Amino acid sequence: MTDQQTVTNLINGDSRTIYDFFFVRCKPMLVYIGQYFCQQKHAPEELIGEFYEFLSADDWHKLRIFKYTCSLNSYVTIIASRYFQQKREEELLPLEEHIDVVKSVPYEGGVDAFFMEDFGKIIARLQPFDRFLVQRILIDGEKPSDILDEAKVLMAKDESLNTDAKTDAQFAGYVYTRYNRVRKGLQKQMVAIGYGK
Amino acid sequence: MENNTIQISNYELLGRVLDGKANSKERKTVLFNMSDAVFEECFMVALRATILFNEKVEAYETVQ
Repeated sequence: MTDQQTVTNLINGDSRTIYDFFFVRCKPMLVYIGQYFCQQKHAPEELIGEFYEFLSADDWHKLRIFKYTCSLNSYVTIIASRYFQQKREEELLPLEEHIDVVKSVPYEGGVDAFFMEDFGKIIARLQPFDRFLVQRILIDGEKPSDILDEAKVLMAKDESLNTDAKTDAQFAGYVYTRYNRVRKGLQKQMVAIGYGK
Repeated sequence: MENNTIQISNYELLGRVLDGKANSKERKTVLFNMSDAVFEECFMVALRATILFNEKVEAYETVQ
C-alpha cells in the first residue's frame, strides 16, 4: 500500500488501516518516542491512542495538508516527536515554583521529618548524576547554569552517561531536561507513597 | 541576510532530511538549527525513531 493509499484510508476511517498503521507499523516508533519524553508514565497503548487522537483531530488535518514531499513514516515521526516533547513541557512545573516548595519544608519536626526521610530514601536510589542534580538544584536551590562545570566533570567520569551536546548551550539544555525528568519522577514517587499532589 | 531558521513544525522539510532526500540548503538549515536545544532534541529523537518502523504489516496479517 502506498503512502497516498494509507492516508486516504486513514482519512476515510478504515478501521483495518487505522489498526495496522498505529498499532503495528508505527507502534515501535511511537512507544520509543512516547517513553523517551514521558518516561514510564503511560502504557504503550495509551501513548498510541493519545497520538491517534492528536493526528486525527480536525478531521485528520495534519494528514490532509501532507504534500508527500517526504515519506509518511518520516512525516509522522517528526510530528510524534514534537507532540510528545510538547506534552512533556506542558506537564513540567516551573522550576522556581518547585524550589520554593521544597525550601519551605522544614527539616525538623513531625510529619515534615518523615517527608524528608522518605524523600531521602528515594533520592538514594537515583543514579549518582541524577542525585547530584537533585541535591544541587532542587534541595540547595542553585541554578542549573551554576553547576554545569561540575556536571561536565561528573559526566566525564561516568561511562554510562552519554550526551550528544557539543556546545555549552546544548549541554545546559541536556542538564535542564534531565533534571526535569528526574524531578517529575521524584514527584510521582512521592505521590505514590501518599504525599498528595 | 539569509534566514537560516526553520520552524520546528516544518514537518515535511524535516521529514525529507530524515529520508535523506533533502537538498544541501535544507540540510544546512537543519544543522544550523541544531544549536537550539529544543529543536535538537526533537529532531534527534525522531532520527533515532525512524529505524523502528514495523513495515511487515502483511506478514503479521498472514501469521494472524
